[in-house]
Amino acid sequence: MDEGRSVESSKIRPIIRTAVAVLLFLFYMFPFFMIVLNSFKDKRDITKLPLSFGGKKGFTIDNYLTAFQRLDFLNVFKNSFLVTGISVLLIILFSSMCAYIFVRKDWKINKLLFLLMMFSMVIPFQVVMIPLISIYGGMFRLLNHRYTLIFMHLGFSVSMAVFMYHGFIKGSVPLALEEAAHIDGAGPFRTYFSIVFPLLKPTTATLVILYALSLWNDYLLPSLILTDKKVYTLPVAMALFQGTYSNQMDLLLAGLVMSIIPIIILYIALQKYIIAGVVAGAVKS
Amino acid sequence: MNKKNESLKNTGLFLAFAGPAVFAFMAVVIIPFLYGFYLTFTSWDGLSKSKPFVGLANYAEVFKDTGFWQALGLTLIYVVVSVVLVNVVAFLLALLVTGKLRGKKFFRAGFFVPNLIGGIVLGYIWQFIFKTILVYIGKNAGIGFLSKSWLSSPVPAFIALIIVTVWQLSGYMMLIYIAGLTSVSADLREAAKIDGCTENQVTRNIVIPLMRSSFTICLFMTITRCFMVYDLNLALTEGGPFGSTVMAAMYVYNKAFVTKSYGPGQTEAVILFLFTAIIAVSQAVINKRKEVEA
Amino acid sequence: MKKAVSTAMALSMMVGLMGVNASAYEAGSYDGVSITMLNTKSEIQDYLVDAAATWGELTGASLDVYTISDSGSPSQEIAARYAANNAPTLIMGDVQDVADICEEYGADLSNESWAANGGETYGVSVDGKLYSFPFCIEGRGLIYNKTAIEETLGEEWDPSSVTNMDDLAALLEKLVENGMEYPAALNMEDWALAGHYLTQVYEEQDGTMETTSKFIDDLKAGNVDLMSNQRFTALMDTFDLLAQYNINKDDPLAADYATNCADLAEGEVAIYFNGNWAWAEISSYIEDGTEIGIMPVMQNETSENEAVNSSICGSATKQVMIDKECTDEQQQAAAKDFLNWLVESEEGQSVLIEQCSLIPAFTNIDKDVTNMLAQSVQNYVKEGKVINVPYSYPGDHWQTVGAYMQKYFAGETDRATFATEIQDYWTGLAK
Repeated sequence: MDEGRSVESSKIRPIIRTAVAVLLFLFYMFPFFMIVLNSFKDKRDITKLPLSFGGKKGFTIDNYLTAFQRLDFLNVFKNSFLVTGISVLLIILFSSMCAYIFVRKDWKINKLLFLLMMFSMVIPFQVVMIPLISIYGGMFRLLNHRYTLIFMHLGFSVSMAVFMYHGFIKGSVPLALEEAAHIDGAGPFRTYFSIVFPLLKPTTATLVILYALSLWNDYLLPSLILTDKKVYTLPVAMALFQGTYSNQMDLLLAGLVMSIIPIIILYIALQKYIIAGVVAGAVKS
Repeated sequence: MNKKNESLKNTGLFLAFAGPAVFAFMAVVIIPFLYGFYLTFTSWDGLSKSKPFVGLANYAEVFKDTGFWQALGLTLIYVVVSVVLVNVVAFLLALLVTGKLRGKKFFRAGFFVPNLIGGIVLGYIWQFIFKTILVYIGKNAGIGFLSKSWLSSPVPAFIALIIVTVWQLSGYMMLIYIAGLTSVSADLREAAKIDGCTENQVTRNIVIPLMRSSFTICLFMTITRCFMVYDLNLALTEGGPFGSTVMAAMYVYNKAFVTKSYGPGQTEAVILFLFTAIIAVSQAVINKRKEVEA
Repeated sequence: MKKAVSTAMALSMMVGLMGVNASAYEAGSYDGVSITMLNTKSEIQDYLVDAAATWGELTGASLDVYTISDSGSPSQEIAARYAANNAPTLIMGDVQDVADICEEYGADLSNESWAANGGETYGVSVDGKLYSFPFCIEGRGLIYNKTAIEETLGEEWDPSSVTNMDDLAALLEKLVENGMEYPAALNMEDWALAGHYLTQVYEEQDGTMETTSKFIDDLKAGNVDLMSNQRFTALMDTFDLLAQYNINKDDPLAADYATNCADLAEGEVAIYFNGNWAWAEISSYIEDGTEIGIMPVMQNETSENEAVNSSICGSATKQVMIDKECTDEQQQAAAKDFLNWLVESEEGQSVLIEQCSLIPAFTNIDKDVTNMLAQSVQNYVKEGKVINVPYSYPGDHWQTVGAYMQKYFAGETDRATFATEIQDYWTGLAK
């Protein structure tokens, strides 16, 4: 009896699991379907026939062509790519190093700074918005440079990244490996880059994705820093499709699809690293 | 001599490893924050060159501003409900996609899709769904609770906000839970199973306790994000209907830039910060302590 | 015959000459000067960018026009730019945006050539100094779809046959009887309700700035009882009438701006309260041959202001100010030159009127606007039937009072409560 039930449940459970997963998947993807579906439609059909394929005026790729041109897509894409790429690189490098020293050295200043960073994660952006641009625009005149934006992205992101690396290093990076390296005569930098940093891969991959996404999509900060069209990023350029008295929903949707594609590629490329239990393997060997 | 050398070496080590991160952090977050804090003692309107010092007058005014406390109260309800739902859903999703399931990667990617789109645009898309598509479906299929837009009455509009929040944040948190789940070594699980534990028992007694740091991070992130929700609030409900879903960050923003009372607005933002900080940080500290014990 | 031809030629030459004279603009030289302009009318962005390029070729200057999205308010943009000491040279904003900062940051424009030609009538002045260039006039009222009305009724229909609310009610009823189930549309946005509809109550008291200011001062002092005010009562009666025939009646707050515009353009509804700016959206749905226009919000009880059923509310909604804080003399001069070019030159006028479809605030421009809705408003302007009260409302009026009006619209409160809420809003400001 008991055995029969467990056999039955072991047959049914995977089916239920899959069914639940499929349903949830549809729910999560639904808005995304709507974006893609409507991006190939005339504006009139988007409001009037939101669910149909093509609509009255039929399937069209005009939205993509117009959006591509109006956004100055290649230039704007390049700006976004540079800003996001360099920012993420710097965030990963400096935050992981910072977290490492915070974990391994029991200095007072480390504890103090770590606490300060934790608190700072709670600061609403509105509190620092005007002061930030007063200082960097009004005093230092550093607006309209990509590097200013990159520096700010770094400043705003380090606390969270340090926090995540901190937890990971503390919990999952064994001190034994470093000690062995030290005995072999490796300095702190070599120890860090050749032994510790590779072990951080799961967190690094996760952070690369999370930051690449949030910086790629960030609107408010870039819109305040980059006021010259030549240095606009994608969200800043795309925001102009939404006016109070007329929304260019058709162009917005097409632009959106174009701007999501690189992120999807990045996600697919990095997905496997997040899952791999690198640390467990390292400890074992 | 040796000691001096030691401290010099340590300073060098600190500057080399923590220097760049700390410098950027101080320059971009802390200094503007302190300046912003100073502005709460002025009656600046946000535009003028003159920033008259008024002492604690803004704080006194904020205490009398019932609109702000209402918005904060609503935010608190929103935070509690969303934080619980986001984390429960995210954890279950993580379990689902790390367990026995065909096409795991595919599903994982799917649940993460909401993060591919930025906040404001996402709000517009959902507004379109709630206002047009669901009503269209509801009317055609005769589903009563869908045939009227959720965004036109206060309680359903609030629920809509929570649904979209869960939809948006759970995929992100799922990633962190997956990282946590996979860091619990497979050996440990196998050993437990050999000892006769069922899969549920393994999850409950071994995996969850070992994942405490993931929980700490996710709770911290959801609490802070939900407290400061602005983009979604603006794009989905615009605070409506009739101002019933205006949450703290939006209220603060409007105070500073619509009513043009920058001083009081900034003061309210600082109070919101203190509120969030106390709740989020004490949560993290308590959990960290438990981590150490475990 | 020959003579006739030569006379015609002389005439046309004269006209040509007059044209040159009328275009009093002479291009200055601003080689290498570079200025920026904040455009908060995003629907005309492309035309302005082209115009800037044309003007730039004439003068050697470069003008960079940029616009902001719906999610950022003009006031936030302006505040951020001043905080960064990076204000645009030309700032386009709503009346209150300019009124708030013009004394501190605005260049004095009183001596510009266009000041006397309508600039002073429609621009923002403080203490006798003119600080802004009225970019366009916009009027609001009941937009009608004449074609749809005639098709539904099966007979000719003349908009001038509607002279008060009773006529309007009869028309709506007749439309229903002939098969148009819900002949009216109303927007639900707070700015549409409080910013466009309710403000008519203040502005139509007698149609002058003095009375409106006094009326609002009285409101602040708590001396107004809206329930016994004729304009409030009449306008709210009409509002109720429209709400009764509203296509979104089941769920008024679920109305969608674009859908409303599409419904009017396609004749699903016949009457829609909005302004001529709605053309930007309506034009993407309207079919050739459909005739639309605008008329005043028809009211009963007009003894205190007879003009309300013949005039529409309209004013210069967008004002352009020149910054003097972050820009040098030469940049200011170039910015003034650009404004002059817009008003005085043939090309500039054609940008404003033909391309952007804006109704000019200036008397020296005799071009006609190209779109039907703007033409309809322009006719009221030409006939002097515009109630022009550019009152600078507090920044949060549309939002706070708009929320009260949404509640009323949704049937959550009655009119007396709504009136009290408005009164409390104003008395609360005085504290």
